[in-house]
Amino acid sequence: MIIDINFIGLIIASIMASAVPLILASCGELITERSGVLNLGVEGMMIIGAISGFALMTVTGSLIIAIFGAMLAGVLISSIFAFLTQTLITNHVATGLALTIFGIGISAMIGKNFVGIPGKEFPVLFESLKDTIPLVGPILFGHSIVFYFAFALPFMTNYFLKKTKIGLIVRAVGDSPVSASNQGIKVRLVRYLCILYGGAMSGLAGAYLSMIYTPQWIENMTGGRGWIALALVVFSTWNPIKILIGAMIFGGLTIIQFHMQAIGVRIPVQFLTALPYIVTIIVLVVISRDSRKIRLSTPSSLGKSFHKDN
Amino acid sequence: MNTNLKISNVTKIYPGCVANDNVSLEFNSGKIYALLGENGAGKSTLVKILSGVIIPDEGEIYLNKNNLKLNSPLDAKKNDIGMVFQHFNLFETLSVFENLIIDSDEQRESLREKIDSIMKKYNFSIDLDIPVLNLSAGQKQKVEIIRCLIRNPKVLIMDEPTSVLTEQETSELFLSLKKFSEEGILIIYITHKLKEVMQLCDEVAVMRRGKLVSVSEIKNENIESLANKMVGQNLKTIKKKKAKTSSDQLIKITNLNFTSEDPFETNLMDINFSVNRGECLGIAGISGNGQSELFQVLSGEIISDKNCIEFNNNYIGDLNPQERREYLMAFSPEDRLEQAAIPQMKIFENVALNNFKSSNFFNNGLINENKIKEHSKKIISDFNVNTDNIELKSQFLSGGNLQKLIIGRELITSPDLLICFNPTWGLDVGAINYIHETLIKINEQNKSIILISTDTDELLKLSDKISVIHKGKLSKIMNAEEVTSEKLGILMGGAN
Amino acid sequence: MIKIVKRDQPSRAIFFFTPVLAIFLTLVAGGLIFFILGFKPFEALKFFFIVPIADKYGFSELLLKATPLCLIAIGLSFCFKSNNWNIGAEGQLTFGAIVSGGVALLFYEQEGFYILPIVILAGAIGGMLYASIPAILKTYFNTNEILVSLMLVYVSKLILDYLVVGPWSNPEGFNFPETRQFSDSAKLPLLFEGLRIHAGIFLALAAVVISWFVFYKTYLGFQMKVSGFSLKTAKYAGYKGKKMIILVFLISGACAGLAGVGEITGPIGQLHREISPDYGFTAIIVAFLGRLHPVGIIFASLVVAITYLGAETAQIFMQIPKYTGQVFQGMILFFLLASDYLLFFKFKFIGSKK
Repeated sequence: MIIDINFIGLIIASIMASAVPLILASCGELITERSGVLNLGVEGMMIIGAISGFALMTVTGSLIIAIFGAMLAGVLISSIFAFLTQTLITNHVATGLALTIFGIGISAMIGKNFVGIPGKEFPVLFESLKDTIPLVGPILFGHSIVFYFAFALPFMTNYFLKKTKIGLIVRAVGDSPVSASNQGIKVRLVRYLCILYGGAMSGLAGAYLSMIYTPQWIENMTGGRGWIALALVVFSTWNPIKILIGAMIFGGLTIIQFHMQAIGVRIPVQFLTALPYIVTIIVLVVISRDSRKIRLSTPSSLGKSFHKDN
Repeated sequence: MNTNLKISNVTKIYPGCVANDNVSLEFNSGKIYALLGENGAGKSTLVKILSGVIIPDEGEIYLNKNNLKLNSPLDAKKNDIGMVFQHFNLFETLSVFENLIIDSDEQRESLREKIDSIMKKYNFSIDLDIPVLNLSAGQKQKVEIIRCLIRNPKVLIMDEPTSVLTEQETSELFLSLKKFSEEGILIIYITHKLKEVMQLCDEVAVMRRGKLVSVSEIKNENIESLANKMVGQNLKTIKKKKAKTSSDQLIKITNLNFTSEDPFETNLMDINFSVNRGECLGIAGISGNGQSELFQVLSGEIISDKNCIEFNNNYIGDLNPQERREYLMAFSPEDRLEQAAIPQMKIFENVALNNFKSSNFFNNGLINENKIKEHSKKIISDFNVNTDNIELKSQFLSGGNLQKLIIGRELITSPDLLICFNPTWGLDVGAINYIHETLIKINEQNKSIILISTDTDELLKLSDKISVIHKGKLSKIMNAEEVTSEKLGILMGGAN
Repeated sequence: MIKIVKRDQPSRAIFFFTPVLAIFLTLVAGGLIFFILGFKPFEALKFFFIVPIADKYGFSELLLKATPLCLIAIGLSFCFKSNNWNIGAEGQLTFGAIVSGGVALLFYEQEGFYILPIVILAGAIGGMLYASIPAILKTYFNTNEILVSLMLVYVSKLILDYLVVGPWSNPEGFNFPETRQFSDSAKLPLLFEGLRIHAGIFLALAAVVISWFVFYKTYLGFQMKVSGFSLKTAKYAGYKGKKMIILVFLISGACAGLAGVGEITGPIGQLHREISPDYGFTAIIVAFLGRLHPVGIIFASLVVAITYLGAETAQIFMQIPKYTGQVFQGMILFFLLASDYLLFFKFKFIGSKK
């Protein structure tokens, strides 16, 4: 078999494409977790984003409205989580689970009328440059704006956390909400914003799935990607750059199953589909064994409620 | 410029307790003021009000005749009131510089210059680019002080600043504070340590049970007079009789090492000591030097090599706390509310935490509630716990009563060895005296104690032998009579 | 002026009142959603919550759905009480069903009184095996049990899918994704002629009684309670923390596995692709709504079971999308968590000052 060099480029590009929603959702959740909030509702927020994006695109015909609407939907749904955990001081884990169950239900309810409707073509950038450079061309060019944004996001997130004042405040709140509060930082406000931001990014991740990646609405189409995104944050030890690596690995696993089938490898399809989940578990086990490192990199107040007594 | 700070009729009420009862005070710059009181007297509430962390129910605060509305810590900062809390308000995983820049509006470069000049002026030396968790307690406090100084404060409030400092660091701190005072900063120094008040301050205000008891100049006071004002009664002095020298060895620790997986914990290195029957071994040290880890190793929460710990001729290093209790050991941990007891559970349920075979609390895996309750009633009456309701949730017990319950629970088995860690931390004098008397009684019954404490006075009062723990290593064991608090202070600072 | 003040002590009455409040608020919000979707709220609620259980058949269906929810929630309460976040009961249910289904297939066309107990036992063991994975990874490898148990749900469903379309598919089944019918001896007996309610309900009731006994009368229950409040205290008391984590996961897995057995050896009598409409996830809500108390869980499982039936009825009669069931479930949990605020705080009306 002769392997076309451009074919390899295309495979890499498709791996990157399937990594996009993971990067978006993980980077969003990373900011939320860095402020000390564990939002397990990523799956629910993603699926809400997916249906909102697709529905708005179908109804309004505007891709821009659809994309931003999906992000707004993520913000709205995560505001329930924010209100519960920050204002009513509920348990993060239970509230996150409720958010996921609720999100899946709502999305299916809204999505009922959108099943089977074909999606729209999403414009890609630099299409003409795709064939100019072998191998690199298909990797770099001919993708949607969301794709480029996703690959810039880890670097921007890194810059935000390390170099900006607000990023510093987010980290401080996650490190010690009590100290932050005693220094006059509005802990609740910071956490609210971080949760809403996480919601927006999950919403965008969902919209990418339903509008760009598989442009159509399928019930439960996130298929556990929200949970994998959560696992990626642990994998990255809360470092945005490592999210990129992790997301590429999982993207690779997703893509490889298609090609394995195409090549005719005789492995049951279910096993290949299960691979990302199994690998997630293995990766978690490997990462977690270094408990010292996990302890140092986990935001100290992660998942703990903070209430200011007066 | 002269600074005048006035607190006028401040009242703060919490459910079940009046933390500040109509407190009025006035301070002027150029002097160092002490705010003195025992635990729970209301000092901390008052300074938290001054720093905007707590909003008072009533009362006003005036700085140079301006009425201040301190609704948040930011308001205090804006009004040039700086505060160093007893529990540092630092972000452990952030670098020193990040900790400082976070509440400053200055540019990185100019802030760095400013910090450098402050450090030079007061002889501080701290690496700005390492995470705070790598600093010693003394260094952390300096970071807090620098944070205040950056803002050129008019008022600097220090809340129990020496509780985590070595002798050396304490005298350095006093020098700095005197220098700040000379430069016109109004210093308010909160403490319950009388010696420090006499050493450092010019004027002293004493608080008791939320009320202001007296304001006076230091030159008119002495330690006894202040002690009486603080406690409100003549202090009973508890004196331990010299123990009968026994050579009957009860517990022996040999070459014990512990390496923690947790970067926030201290590793223990080469621990060797033994305790004889009827003896109290005190272990001094500044908190965070491995006391908690040592306690856990001794209690069995952390398991070590079997042969490292020999108790009553048995090797027990690999046993868990429950198994060790069967050999007649008992443990009273430092953290009353999150470890030694569960506040949300009833008193008798908390008693059942100390489960040993002969207690019959649990027969064949079933709860024997009658037995537990019977036992609980006995503890409550034997150890003066101020309630007769064993169904009461233990969160409604005061710290002193809870500690009595815990000590009682541990002692009801008449163990050969009690290991306790800061047993009187945060208690009022009455409860402290009761606990101290109880510990002395144990020794008189020829039982042994390992007392890990950060309170040097307590150790000198109760111990027969003393050792100092520093960075996870124990000093050589000394006879208590040969030790002075100065000597302990030096060892606690890490000197040989 | 209304002021929010902290309660001195969480009120016990409110502890059991808030679930009722949460259900009420869910109904209000549900009515609102129906209204927005263009349905008459009261009519829709009637079809959702009353019509489905108005007759004997409906009531039997309610018990049929409540049985697995109750069983799983009881198991989960062992985990949740002791601070272990097992959210993969759906996977344990599926794996339990696979193992018991496999055993039932071994006895294909065989009869005997011993078959059913073996099949049931196999389901419990399957659930335990599957639950032991997150438990062991948590205790010995420090791995987050939430993510592991959840990932395993997806894996279990794929295993089931592989088996029913592949090696275990019915040779005479025209390639339908299902196995052969189990023999009658491998099926749970139906309780009434013409109704689908089966003997699995006794498993759930037994679990309720046993769990009540364990929680409140045994040393194990006491240890779980202590661990739930503070792991530090549990360690100090000398409880064997790792052993307990594994034990509660095993109990929880066994219950979920049994629920799986009930699903396949009940009215269906074979393995197929969709054996559970997410009972394993919904049971998490049931456990919370029932306040992790065995009796509370009985009531909670009945309430939540209605949402399953109601969604079906409302779909048939009013063309309301069936996913409203899930929306209601999510809302119940939201409102329950929110109303917990009343446990710790109260609203105080005070006259305005100044």
